[in-house]
Amino acid sequence: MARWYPLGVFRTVLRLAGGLILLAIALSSSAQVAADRQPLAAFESGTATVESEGSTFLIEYSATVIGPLFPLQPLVSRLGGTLTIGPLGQSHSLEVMGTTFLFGPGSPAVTEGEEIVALSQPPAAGAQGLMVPLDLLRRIYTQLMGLGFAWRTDERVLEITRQPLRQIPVTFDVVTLQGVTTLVFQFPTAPRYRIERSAARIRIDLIGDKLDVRSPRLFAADQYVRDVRLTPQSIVIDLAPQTKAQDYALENPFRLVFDVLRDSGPRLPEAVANVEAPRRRGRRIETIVIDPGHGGGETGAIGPAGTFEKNLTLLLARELERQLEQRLPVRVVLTRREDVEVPLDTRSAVANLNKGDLFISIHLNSSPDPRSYGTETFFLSLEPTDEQAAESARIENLAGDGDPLYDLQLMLWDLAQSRYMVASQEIAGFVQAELNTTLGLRNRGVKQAPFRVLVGTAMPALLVELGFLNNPEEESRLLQATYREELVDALVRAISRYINETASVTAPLDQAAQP
Amino acid sequence: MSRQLAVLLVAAVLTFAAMLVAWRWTSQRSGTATGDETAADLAVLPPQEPGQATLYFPGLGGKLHPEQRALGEETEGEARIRLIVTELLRGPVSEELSPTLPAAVELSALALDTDGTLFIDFSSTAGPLGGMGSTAELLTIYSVVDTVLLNEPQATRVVLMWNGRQHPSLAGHIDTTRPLTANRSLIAESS
Repeated sequence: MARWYPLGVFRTVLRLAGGLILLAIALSSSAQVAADRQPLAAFESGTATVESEGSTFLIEYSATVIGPLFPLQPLVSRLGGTLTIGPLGQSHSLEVMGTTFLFGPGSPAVTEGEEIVALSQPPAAGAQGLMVPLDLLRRIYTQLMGLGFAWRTDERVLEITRQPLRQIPVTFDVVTLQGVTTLVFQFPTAPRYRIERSAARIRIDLIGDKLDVRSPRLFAADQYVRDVRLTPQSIVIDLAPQTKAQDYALENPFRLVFDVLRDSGPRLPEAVANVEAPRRRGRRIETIVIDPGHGGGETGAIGPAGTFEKNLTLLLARELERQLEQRLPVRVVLTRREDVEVPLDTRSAVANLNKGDLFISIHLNSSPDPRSYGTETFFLSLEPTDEQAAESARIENLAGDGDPLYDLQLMLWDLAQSRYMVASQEIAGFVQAELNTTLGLRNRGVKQAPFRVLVGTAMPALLVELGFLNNPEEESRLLQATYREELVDALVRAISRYINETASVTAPLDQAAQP
Repeated sequence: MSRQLAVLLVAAVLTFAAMLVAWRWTSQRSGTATGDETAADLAVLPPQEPGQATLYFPGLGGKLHPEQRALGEETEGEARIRLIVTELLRGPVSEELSPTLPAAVELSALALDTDGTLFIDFSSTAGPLGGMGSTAELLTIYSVVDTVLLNEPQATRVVLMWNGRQHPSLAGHIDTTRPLTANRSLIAESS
């Protein structure tokens, strides 16, 4: 009981502990190690059985609302690969079959070679080392080694199986347009593959699958591509000198696409080029994630008549879902459907898990000035992130790691949104224009701010403030269903405009890829 | 009695660990230039009187508005920042301006790192901040950040903590897991 102790002693202990915490945070925050970031809360943990090709062994596991987490180290020692843990115990580097994956606790982003991908949830520290989600294991071992992972929740069994060999038909097409040669390889189902690049060649090796090359189209060399060869095991693309190729995948049906174009200008280090890569304008908008701000005990802004922001954002999100599904060929996912509190990082995780192509967080504003009114649209401000990231790389260097490219990749952990800044700004402009020109609302403009919910979203993302709830007039209007429908109508028009402008760029490519 | 001894022993261990960490931190930081944008900005600020400070409070137009304040002591660095934050928590004199934080909020801890990172830990028995929109949260956060950074050149960025730890956000919008730098765009133009 605290009252046994003299108050002075108790305060001294608290101050000393506080001082230590502050110093520890000084180290960890500057080193980008994300110890200050909150992993998703585990609601269950214990021992799981792993069944792998006739043998079994035990590992610990924990489960969050997103799914289970398993310790990486014992799985790597059974399945293969070289795991290296950074000097600060945070950065984890796993090399499997020549591909290096970088990840760490607290961040849902992982670098795979030169690419950044988002995980369903961030890895977390555990007694057996780093705990990772199933999708990371699948990304590594299914993609590279053809291993399948199945989690049987009721039995607490993780089943690891070798996937049967598949023979997958492939068709090949080529489009040359505006100085770009686009190669499209179409498959009825996504194959497991690995891409290797050199200056003059791209090689796509099938892993655990074989290609059924039914009608290989003869390829006529052009100024950018010398040759394309398809065999049951691989696809090889020979590039002309001074060209570069960007690859991406399209779904339904699955297509691997390579844009080959002239490589002009000085060559940047690969990791730097990765940071500054332009937005890929081939992206389809198939899934839109809508985030109704706040919820549960977190009310958000409160109007003078007692209206809670959390209730209006949910009504607006549901109306937006209804109108989007009615008017556009898209799938809509809501981060919450009820009056519940959802952590900000979970909202980003839900968006990433659903492979969203666009993320819209809906909010209502409040200000100390009750006369404030109008709408504004935000996309992420990266300035603090950049500073933090640069500091992290510097500290990692000081800690003796020494490889600047390695450190540069480390700092990309938390920049999931950085790839989509241009697209985010573009759609934010459309949203603001539609809201202001159509509804005649005061244009407070497109702005940038470090919104937490936008940081980890690996897709174009924006946060829209649809009025000031502390302004009595705006509160009154927001309580009217017809006004909310008008606001949502403006949002749908903005999204539609964005989709159409993007589609107009990709139309020739998509049409060419059809069988 | 044995629990008292245990507490004192823990305190001694924590102190030693803190000194060790601080020593390592200082040795890692030696020779590091801090030529970031904030430091450059501070160089062009009008000079402050040693015993004076300009506090920035939320107000009309959804902006931060300045109020001059006498600090009572001529100090610098962490001691000066402590006086400034204490004054900020007392709230504005002008009735047109709003307090930065609710009256129940107290300054729990404050530490200025050698690289200019300022850690401020606020505490409140009333729980986390809430009931505010993003503009209100931006003004709350940058009322603190701008006030300390634009008054004390030794501080270049601020880490905000609440009840002893960092949070993803204080009121559901702004990312407070990272150090924050000054944001002059929120200060009223006539200031």
